[in-house]
Amino acid sequence: MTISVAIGCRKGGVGKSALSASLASYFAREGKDVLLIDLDPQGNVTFGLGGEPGSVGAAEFLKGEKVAPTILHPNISILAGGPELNSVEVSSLEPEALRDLIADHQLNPDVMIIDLPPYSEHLERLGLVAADHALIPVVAHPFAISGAARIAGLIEARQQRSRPGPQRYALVQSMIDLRRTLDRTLQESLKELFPGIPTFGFRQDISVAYSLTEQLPLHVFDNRARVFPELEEIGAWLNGR
Amino acid sequence: MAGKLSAKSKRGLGLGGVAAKAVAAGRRSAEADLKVEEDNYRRENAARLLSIDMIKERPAEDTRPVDPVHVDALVESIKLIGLIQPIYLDRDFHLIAGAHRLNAYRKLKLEDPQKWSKIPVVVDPELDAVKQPEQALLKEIAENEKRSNLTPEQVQNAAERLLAADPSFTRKAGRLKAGEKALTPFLANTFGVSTRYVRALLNHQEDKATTDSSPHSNSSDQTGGKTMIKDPAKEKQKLLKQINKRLEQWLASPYLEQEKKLGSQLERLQVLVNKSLNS
Repeated sequence: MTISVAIGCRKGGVGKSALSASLASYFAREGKDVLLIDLDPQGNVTFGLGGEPGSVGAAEFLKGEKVAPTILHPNISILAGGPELNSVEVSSLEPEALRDLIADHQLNPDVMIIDLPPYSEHLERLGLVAADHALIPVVAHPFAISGAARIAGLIEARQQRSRPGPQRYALVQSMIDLRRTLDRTLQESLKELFPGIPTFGFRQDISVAYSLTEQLPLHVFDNRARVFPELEEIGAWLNGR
Repeated sequence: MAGKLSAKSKRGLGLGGVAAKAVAAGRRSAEADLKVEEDNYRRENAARLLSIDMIKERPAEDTRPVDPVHVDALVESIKLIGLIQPIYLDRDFHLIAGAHRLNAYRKLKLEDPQKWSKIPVVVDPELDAVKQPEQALLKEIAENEKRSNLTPEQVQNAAERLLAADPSFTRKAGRLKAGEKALTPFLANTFGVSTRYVRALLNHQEDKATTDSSPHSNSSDQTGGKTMIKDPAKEKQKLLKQINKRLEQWLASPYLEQEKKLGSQLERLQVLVNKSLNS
């Protein structure tokens, strides 16, 4: 059984791509076979893990072409993101297109991570509908919290109507800097604002930033990065533990 | 300055009331997002393709049981010419009319998931089958009536168009030459009615054209108004054939544990009927 998770928060700059790349690295470090689908036209995850944004990838896959994921690391392959994701053909796809295509192509990695773009409802929906879990990174900023609520609302509405999409979701407070008061109190606030929804932490870690600039998976760059215990908690939740 | 910050955090929310407002705004936008998505399906009752998995079963029981023979016939017809009449759904994608068509698509999807995962649908934005079961039933009946109460003109038109489009179609009954396709059964499958009914409608139309009978002769006379002297032996033989066909249908459909005894008796009856037919 593939564990599929979409990562997004509508707002930009909240650490979506950093979390996607780090989570991919965590599972690869555990020996799992990871497929990343980069739905961001900027292709940041693609770049950060050593791929080429704009190369044949997610957009072509969505258009129904026969595309094999690019292998970036023995355990990590990717359907690259790029500007073609903004094309008319991709914009006119039905919400279940990605989900259907994944099933049709019998892509069965151990873990599938879908990196959702900021500010594109359409691509965000394609990714959300295709995943069984969602992680919503959020920072101490009203726009981020509003964006998180928007995605949470969409997920819950789909669940109520028994449409395909995430069955479970969780919030991840990302880029935590414990010297900031707001960062120290946010996780408590999230529990009040989203009762019953698990919240995880993902701290600001210089290794994460460096690994992305070096275009290496986190565990290859620094196998003992401080965020691994936090990623392990998220991984356990995704595994249903 | 530091005192101010800690005073704020003591109130519980580091972001003050803004966070709660932001959540409320986000939830409202989520509703709006979903409405846009659903409105795309509801647009002016236009037929659209919808993933089969999104369609929910009728909240009420089926008014007509699904006939596997009819489903198989539809499978063939849809393969050849596609689905002519989209199935009808309520606002939450509950099936209202088109159980046979949906079942045919489900069968086709097993054969080729890529090609048959989506079915043409019309979504009725006003109809909620859970809250308005009578409305749903009325719509279902209306939709099904519309298809089976064909006028002779409609069938004749379809026949003419098919004959013009594909010369391999033939109206003649009996054994076909290689490459020939029988028109009547094809129309029957397409419209979801029996071959006899189509033949009657076609004959009716011809009769009208040749004899110029009264315009209101909308009788359901299956012989098309032709007066024929019937041979009783032939009539009996015909009836036997019909019985045989019905028995075959009954035996081909899945039956329950408590029907097993009846099933074996009917099987024996079928053997008898077959013997008599072949003698």
